[in-house]
Amino acid sequence: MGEWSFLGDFLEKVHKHSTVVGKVWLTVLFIFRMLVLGTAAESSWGDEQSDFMCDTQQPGCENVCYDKAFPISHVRFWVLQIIFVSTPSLVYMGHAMHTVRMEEKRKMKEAELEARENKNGGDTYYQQKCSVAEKEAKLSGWDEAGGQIILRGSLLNTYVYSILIRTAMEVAFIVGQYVLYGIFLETLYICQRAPCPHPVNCYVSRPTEKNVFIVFMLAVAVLSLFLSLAELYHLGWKKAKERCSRPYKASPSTAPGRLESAPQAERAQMYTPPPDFNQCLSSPNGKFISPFSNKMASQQNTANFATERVHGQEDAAGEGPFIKSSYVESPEVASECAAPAFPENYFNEKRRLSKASRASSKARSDDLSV
Amino acid sequence: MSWVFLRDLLSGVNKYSTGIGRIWVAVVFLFRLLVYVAAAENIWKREHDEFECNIKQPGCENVCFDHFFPVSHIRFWALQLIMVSTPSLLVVFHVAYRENREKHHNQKLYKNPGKIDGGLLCTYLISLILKTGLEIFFLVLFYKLYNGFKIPRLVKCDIKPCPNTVDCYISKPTEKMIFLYFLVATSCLCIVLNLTELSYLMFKYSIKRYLKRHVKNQQ
Repeated sequence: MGEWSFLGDFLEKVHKHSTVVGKVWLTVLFIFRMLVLGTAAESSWGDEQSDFMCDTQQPGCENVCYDKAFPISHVRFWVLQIIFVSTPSLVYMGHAMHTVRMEEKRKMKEAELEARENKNGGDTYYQQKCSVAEKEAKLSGWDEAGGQIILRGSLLNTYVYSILIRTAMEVAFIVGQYVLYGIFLETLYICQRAPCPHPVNCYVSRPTEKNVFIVFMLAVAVLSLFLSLAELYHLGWKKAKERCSRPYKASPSTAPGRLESAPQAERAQMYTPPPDFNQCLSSPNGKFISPFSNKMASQQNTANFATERVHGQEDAAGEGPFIKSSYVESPEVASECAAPAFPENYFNEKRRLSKASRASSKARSDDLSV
Repeated sequence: MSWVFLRDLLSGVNKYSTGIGRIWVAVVFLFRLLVYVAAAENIWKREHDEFECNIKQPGCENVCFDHFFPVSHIRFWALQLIMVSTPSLLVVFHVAYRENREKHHNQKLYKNPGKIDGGLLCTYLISLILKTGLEIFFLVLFYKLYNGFKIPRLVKCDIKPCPNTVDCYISKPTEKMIFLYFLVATSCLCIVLNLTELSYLMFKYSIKRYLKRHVKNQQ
């Protein structure tokens, strides 16, 4: 069982950054597959060849008959199944970690750029705020240990592809097992292969016990398949819902505070101010995303919210832009200080937001916000 | 056999690696180490007991087994895994040396002791070359020792004290072949990853140097 800790450590990280269904899938993998395989199934198949008896004294006949009956042992087959089924999640994790690192590097570079511009005499107040907020965003935004990775854009695509590949692997292995062995193991296996002089009766060891485990592992594989499909449906349905509802909403629905005309729309979309936290709290699917941890920040945010409302921000009640923006496939909503060239008026309006509100713009819920 | 030590070692290496280096570590962990420990070891566990020759002559089975398996596949792969992971230690030692030097002189000598530049880059490249070389060496050695990447079902043996040419049967040849191909394939994948990382690093740093020279010349 200790050998599975190699994989377990990798999957722990995936567990942190998965959706609810993803976490259930991982738990099923850990408990019902790895644990059962490592403890029970291994010992059941332990004596599979030594107790494989053929009704012949011909040396070598038992060896060749066993080899013909079991080209690959069930246990080894399941080991490969677990490894191949877990691999797509690890690829997604790798991509997520890579994104986090790129984000950190980018923010550090921008902080340096702003500091350099500061020396050359830009807007001092702006630069100071920017660099301080930059550092705070760097510390809080993509922290692996405490923070959350938000599924959007290419990361969401990777996640979806990883689930698709995982589903394909599950199906392949289930079909493979059926093709190799059928569902149940027979007690008697009739073998005709050189050097056996004639068709010999060979008897499999512990067939009933093995059948119990075979059926169990098949059921768990089907359950995992079902969970993967459920996760796909959940992600796909939400995405389709977003896409359908988008044409019917006013323009700021997906990117709050988008005041620019088309040429600057893309930049503005990237650099919109932090989301309305009050609307995050009242998200429709009941997920509580608590973006801040102190009362002062929440009070400041309420004030900011009121200020933003005055400046013509409209948001449909009950639809958090924070959640919605997760599905936007366009450039990620990055930190506010990302743009070197900003329309000054636009920025000054939003500058009333406090440092605390910016710093607290990370998701704190246990689940990945999708 | 405890592989935890190797796992801890490679986790340490992960910190000072490039992205491709991390992929290499993941491949070694999952597709080689885990498969070896969870699956392959059990297949080869009783290979000698299950090796059967069509003869009652005492000692014949022993000498035939010894002739066909001078080094058991499984021990060979264990050795390969250890040797191939060891060059990464060079990088860890070099970083530790840098940090020690900073402590000794009590000042910041390096912008970041773990960053791959200067001397550490050379060490990293050497470790990559060694890893690749060792992988290729072990693959070629395996090929020469066992006459190709195959495990036959039946082998013919006529070494003393066997009185004549006897048929000897290897146990689980199909299963062993599946895992042989799997481990050879992952070995080749690791070679490809190492070569990719090597070319990427050399390309990246030669571009950097060229740009530096270009800027200097302009100035």
